[in-house]
Amino acid sequence: MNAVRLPQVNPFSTRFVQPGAIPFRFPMPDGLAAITCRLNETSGWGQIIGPHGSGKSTLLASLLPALTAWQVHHIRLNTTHRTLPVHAFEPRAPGSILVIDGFEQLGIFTRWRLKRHCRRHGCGLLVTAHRSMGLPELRRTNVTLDSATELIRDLLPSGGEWVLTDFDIAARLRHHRGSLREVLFELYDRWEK
Amino acid sequence: MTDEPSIRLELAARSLAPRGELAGVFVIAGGPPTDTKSIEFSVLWRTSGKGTEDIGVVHYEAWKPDDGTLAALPNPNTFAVVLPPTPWSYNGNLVKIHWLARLRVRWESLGRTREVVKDVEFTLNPAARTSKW
Repeated sequence: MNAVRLPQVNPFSTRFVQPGAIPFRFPMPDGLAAITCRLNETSGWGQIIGPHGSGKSTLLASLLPALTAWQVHHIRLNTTHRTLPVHAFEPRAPGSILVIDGFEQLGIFTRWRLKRHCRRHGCGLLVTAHRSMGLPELRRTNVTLDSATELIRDLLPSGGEWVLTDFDIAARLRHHRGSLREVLFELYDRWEK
Repeated sequence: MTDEPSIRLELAARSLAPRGELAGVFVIAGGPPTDTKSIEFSVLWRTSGKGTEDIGVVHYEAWKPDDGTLAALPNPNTFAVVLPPTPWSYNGNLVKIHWLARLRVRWESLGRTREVVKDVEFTLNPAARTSKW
């Protein structure tokens, strides 16, 4: 009988670490409810601020299912996809909320037009960005050593602890300026070796 | 206490050639749960790696109570699916291609839709010789 060599699953593959696959870890148990409440107070206007790889999109993935009172229109931007789809400027009814993940990818004029568009139609605007975009701040994300260590250990399958041998999570986190995503990419490569 | 059904999915061969036939059987121990919404069997490939991941479903079949197909589903049920020529299984550093057969049972319990999924991986490889039962 031939032994079947299946492709090996890497526990740091996108599938396991992408926003939504890992729940956002709030320091307080009622963190999600507090953000939802704050967003209702600001009529759906808000920003989630944090450096690259600090969990902004992960927080958004945890938050969006909780926005049941809103009609959510979610647009995701990144360095390779920096333009808004045409429907971003469609008229929106009050009770709608436009969610832009990666708001800083847009030019200053487009950001201004989008804010004006949402204000005119009475709809909310929730964004993530690396720096303040002048909207009410819902949360500032950052990765602590404890949260990074806990998350990495949760991702590891039984017997996979070897990948952390001589791997200083704190040092790697400092090296990547707090980007947990980059640390996870590094662990992906270690796993492959 | 759980009412989760015990499901088994077995393949006749775990290494198949392009255009080969994936044959196997699935069984739901004790039969489908009360208030079953659907039983779905699919054969698919998916990529995994550091970048954007992709998926392709090459076979999908569903049995539901609404259209009477669930009542006609044999248990155990055998299947035979002809596979496409590509993509081949691949175990690269940056990207991997996995092939799998998937059985999903969805049912209603205490007002919530629940599901149980069983995946069995196999390889699609030109070097493989498709074995018989």
